[in-house]
Amino acid sequence: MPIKSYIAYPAEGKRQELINTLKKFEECEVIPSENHDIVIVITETNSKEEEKVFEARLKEVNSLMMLSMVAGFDTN
Amino acid sequence: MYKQTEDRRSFLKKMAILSAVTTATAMFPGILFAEEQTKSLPAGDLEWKKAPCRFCGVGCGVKVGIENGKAVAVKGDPNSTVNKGLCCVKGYHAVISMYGKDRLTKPLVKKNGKYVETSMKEALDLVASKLKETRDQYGKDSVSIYGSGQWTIPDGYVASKLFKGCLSTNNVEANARLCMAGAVTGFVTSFGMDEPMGCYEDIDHADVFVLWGNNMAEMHPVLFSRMLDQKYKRNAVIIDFATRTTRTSVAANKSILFQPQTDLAVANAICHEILRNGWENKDFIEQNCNLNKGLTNIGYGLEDKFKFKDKPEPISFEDYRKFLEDYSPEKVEKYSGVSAKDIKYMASLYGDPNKKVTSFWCMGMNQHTRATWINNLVYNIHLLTGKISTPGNSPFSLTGQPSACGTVREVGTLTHKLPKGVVMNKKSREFAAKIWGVPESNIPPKPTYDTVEMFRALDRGDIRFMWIQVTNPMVSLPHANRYTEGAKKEGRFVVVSDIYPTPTTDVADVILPSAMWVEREGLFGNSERRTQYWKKMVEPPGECMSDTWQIIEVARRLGFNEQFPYKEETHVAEIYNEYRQFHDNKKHNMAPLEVLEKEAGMQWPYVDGKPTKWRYNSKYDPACTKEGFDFYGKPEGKAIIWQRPYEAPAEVPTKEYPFWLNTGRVLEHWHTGSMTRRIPVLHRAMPHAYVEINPVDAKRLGITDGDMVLLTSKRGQLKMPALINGRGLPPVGQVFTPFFDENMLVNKLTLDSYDPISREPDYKKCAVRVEKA
Repeated sequence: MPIKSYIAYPAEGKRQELINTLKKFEECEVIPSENHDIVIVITETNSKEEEKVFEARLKEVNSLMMLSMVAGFDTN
Repeated sequence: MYKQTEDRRSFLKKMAILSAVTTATAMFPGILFAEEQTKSLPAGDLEWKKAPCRFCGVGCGVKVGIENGKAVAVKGDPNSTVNKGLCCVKGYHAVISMYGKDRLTKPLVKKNGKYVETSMKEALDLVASKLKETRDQYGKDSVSIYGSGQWTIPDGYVASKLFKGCLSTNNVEANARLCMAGAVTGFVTSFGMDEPMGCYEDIDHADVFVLWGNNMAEMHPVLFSRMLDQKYKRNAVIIDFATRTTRTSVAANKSILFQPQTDLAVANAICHEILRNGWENKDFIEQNCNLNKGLTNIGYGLEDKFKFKDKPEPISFEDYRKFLEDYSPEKVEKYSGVSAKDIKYMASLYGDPNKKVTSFWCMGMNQHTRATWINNLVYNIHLLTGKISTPGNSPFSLTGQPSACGTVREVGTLTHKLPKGVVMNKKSREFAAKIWGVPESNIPPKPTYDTVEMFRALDRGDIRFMWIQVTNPMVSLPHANRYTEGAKKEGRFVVVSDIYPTPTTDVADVILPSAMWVEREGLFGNSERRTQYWKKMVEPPGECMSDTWQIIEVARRLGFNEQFPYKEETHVAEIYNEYRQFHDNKKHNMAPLEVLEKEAGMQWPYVDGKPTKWRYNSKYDPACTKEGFDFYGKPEGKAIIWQRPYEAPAEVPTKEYPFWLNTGRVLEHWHTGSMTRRIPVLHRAMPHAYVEINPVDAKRLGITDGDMVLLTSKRGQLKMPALINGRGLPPVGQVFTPFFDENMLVNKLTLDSYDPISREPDYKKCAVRVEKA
């Protein structure tokens, strides 16, 4: 059951849109910075396959400019 | 942030969050996730108790969460005016550093080359008997104590009382000599009294911040966050004046780079430009300043038993103006690397009567072979423009340790100091002797060794017994090889009190396990004259004992029961109340313990139930005896504008050693890393040291990112990985490396040159060769 954390960079002027979109994903927890245009994203999925699928969905989010992984753990 | 009872999944999720927060903090200076900090605190019935943070000199107020006798969490104290609820990554994880797997919990005594566990009673008996035996055999100046800016106020007080008052030696020093001595002599020579006149509230008022060689984004992140907040809210301007590009430079409005040591010339050039434009505040200068010059070509302290005494002479304003003719921006541009345009720009900010300017500095100006001079020169700028001792106008020297000010500078744990005054002054000795209950003749009238000289004396054999508490000199001393070998020599007896094994405990004959931070009661004093008190919150492990009580136990074994009559359960209050007698006056009165128990610290001078935020200004400071400004540390209440020239550093790059080596700290680790490297998330974020190299130099030398690089100075060699275009970027011809990593000990390479006035070493400038390993 993988857990990963990322730093997400929104597209210009789309910080709030990115936060709103990410919050809709069940697999996702979002921690916006209070004074910078970046968002910490924590993902929790049930398997590596599920994680791959979810990563692909994340990359399709229009308001997301870049996603950098910081840490990854597997609870199994 | 840390709770062992959590399930593995929750724990790993928190680690993932922490890793991301830590990385973001390193990438974006001043970034805040306060909501996250609060939300991710452990659930349950924690008992929250207040304390100052264990780490840097900012002195953030924190709340420590206690559960089942264990410290499990830290959060910023919203009642603290220092940090207003914020915390940096180090402070936030501070409790984890108490529970490292290799925590020292039993005394260890070296027998036949091996450490053997013993009881605290036996270890303290041995320390006392060896101290006495050494003193009897080699004389009173053969024994010494070396402490730290992490000593609590009671620790430093009893150390000074025992060694100076009872054992009749001024062999008392502390590692703040390595970081703050230049600030002290700067304050004392310019104002006659130590410590900043302003406070952190200056940040809320200043229009311009000039950072003199001070990477605040990494070293003082909470204050930097407060400053950035003002940049965003009020368009305050931040100028980063430094020798390399850092996270601070990136966040500043303007980054100005200078060649090492030429800050002296640039400061003079700013003064030149202020006078050339008539921007000086003539009334302020006339009423509040005198002018002096001192000796020049003063040396670098490289020789054992180096001696120097400055000879101040009064000069006229016209003399000073003439002296500054050599420092026109155009002349200084030629060797400082700073364009005349940038010098004029900085002068215009200081010179604008409608702008409030605060200057911040820390190690860049203090670890400098002309530390006192550069401190004087920045004060000159503020004095010429009258921008001092008013909200937002502040020359502000920051500290790196939690009680460098409160203990080392105020209690006076340096060879020449007493809690009030200096050993050279008979009245100061009489005053101390009276409070300590010893004859005045017990306190020797001459200082002995500053820190570097103290370790040289240990190496030579002039000192035979040294007790080291709360510090790691075998990592932090410059030219560390000499002093490590010196400490290991036959006939030396070294006692080390610490919480973890370090390269310094490796040279010890006796290792005493210390109680850490909230495992004991204590007081710290921060950079803005704020004294903070905390109660013991948890039991220390094993036989760990506070450094204060260790000293009291040894003092009693030496027969000084009368001078150390304190009860174990009330000793901190008894010692603090005794110590307060030294400062019972309007210029330095300290708040009573009952006040400190309730408040998130209180600034001295504490007069009529109120702290003093800005000293030397009658509007805010009840100690002033005249209207307006009263620099009461000096005769006539006048501060000194000093004529101090540019002089080259002790060592400069040559054909054989063509690079400047600069050393310093990183966000994730505190000083020598003995605590923060035991915090897994911080260790993972910054697992080892590195050498920053400019990409142009790297390309020329065939070095790519991560390659192992060999650094060679006249004193040693060191291999470490290259970091190219990392978080810091040195200019061509310079390299930088942090000193936190005991496995890549950069102080094997550094030079033990120092400022002859403050005797603080220069860790920022020596010459090295750089090669691909």
